[in-house]
Amino acid sequence: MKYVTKKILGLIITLLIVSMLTFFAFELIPGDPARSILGTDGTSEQVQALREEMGLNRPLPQRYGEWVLDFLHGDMGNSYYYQKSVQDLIGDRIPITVTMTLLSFSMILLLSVAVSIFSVRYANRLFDRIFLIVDQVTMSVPPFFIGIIFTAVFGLAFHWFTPGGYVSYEKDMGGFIGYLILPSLAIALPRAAMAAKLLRSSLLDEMQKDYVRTAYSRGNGPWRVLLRHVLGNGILPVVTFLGMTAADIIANSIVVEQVFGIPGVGRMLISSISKRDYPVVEAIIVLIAVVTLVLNTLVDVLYKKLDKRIELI
Amino acid sequence: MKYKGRSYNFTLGLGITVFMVALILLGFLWTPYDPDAMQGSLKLNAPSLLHLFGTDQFGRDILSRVLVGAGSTLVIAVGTIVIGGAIGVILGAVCGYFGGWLDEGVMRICDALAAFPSVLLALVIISIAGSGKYKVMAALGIAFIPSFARIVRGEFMRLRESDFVISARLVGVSTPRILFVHILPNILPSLLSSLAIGFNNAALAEAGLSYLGIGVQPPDASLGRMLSESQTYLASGVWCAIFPGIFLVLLVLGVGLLGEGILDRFGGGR
Repeated sequence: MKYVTKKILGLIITLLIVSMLTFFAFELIPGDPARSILGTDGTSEQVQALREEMGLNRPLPQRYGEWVLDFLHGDMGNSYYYQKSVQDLIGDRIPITVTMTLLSFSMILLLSVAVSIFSVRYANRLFDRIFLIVDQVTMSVPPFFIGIIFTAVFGLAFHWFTPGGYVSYEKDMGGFIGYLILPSLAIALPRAAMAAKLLRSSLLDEMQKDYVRTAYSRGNGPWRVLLRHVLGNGILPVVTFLGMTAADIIANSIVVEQVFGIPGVGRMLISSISKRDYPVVEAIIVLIAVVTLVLNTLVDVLYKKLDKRIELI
Repeated sequence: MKYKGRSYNFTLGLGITVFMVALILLGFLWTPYDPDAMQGSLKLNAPSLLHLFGTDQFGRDILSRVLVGAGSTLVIAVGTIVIGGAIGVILGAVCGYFGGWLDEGVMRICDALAAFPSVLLALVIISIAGSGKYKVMAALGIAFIPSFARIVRGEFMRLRESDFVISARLVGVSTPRILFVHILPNILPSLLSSLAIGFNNAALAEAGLSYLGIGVQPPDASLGRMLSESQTYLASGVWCAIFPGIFLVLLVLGVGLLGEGILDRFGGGR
């Protein structure tokens, strides 16, 4: 219990630092937000009035405090460009990115476990050797290039899907998930390759231990030993890696959304960066950082729960 | 960590890396064609003996463009690990060796920075400072500081109470000398392998950012931008996508293998 409390305290401190860094970083941007909303037509009186209205004339620490409080209440500020609140802008995009992240994560988990189990079962045989080569190459391919290859092969050659033909989840849930499968797989493959490599070496380490011999001597077959005895222990070191995977998936989804024309949070982020729509950029970035941090803390706590051998203070 | 059989990672990685880097360096001096010369009669020509990688939608030679684009990637990736590595090593060394409140503070900030996926942090910096080759380099360099600092800190903490450090201290060696002449060489294998990982992450991040149009800006050629432009012509000129992509993959593969090979061969107390 003490461990969990300590972790949560650490999380809160880190979140505070993240929010400060982001807030003050965006304060450094040259230029006046009021001026950029009004454009060059605005008179200096109008700019002054808008500054007063937006609260820009108040001291910085006070504005930081208000920004954090508003954020906690779900008010993420207003877009300069769309004249709408940020939560309205990204509200219906969040489910898209979340679905993609979840799909990718399940694929990483399934693929890495399945492949590494086979490769350990047949260690140093043909399957394992081929796996090692394919795995190393897959690790080196950027997800957006995999996405382009998928588009060329499955979209243009096999006509399995229409590139850019995104289906909204409000219209057709099945079609929506169907369209997201290839993008999610593109994000998942390199990461799954890394996880599989880690898992393979961790499983091979476990196979050398005494309890494995005991398990065999009690008449268990090789598959049963692997699945029932070794996998549970061998997967532990990989849990931390899988936790960090969340951040990686989200970062890559920013690019892959662009490849497949998916209107997710990442696309909003990129278009806001090019439009210099800072409140949107700021809000999305803080949101991603919060999600990542919370997930990482959850993984640490989960790891502790899974492995009774670790006794941290 | 090792299983039967010898590891060929180092040899293979070194081979691929040297080959790719040599090709890219050659590209700085000489390319088969002018990478920016457009030729209307050669639009989207398939690979041939004259144009080994084919030509793009403007009739430009893809091989020449790939060489020059990979050059940007190489410069940015090397710059990133030099910036991130230098600052990260100093921070990590000082924090790991001295510990205390300084360590606590710096590591908290590193944790906070590490919460951002490094591409995202680079995006923040780029959205504030603007895009372009050197800004991307600086942005990625800053984004990579925490990862290097953490690794170096761990190693320094491990070694600070070891016999050779204590003896050096007793003899009266100055602290900077202990840090960088006595301890640093001992952590080279793990430092080098993390630099290799950093190089790859930087190369992939640069390609991703340029793909999004916020990395390297024209007229500088870049693999990411070539890939993004190629998508429009996927049906009629798939080679526009394949070659820049494969070039990037080979570079990353080579450096990745090299990094692992260094650990296999010279060991790094994992």
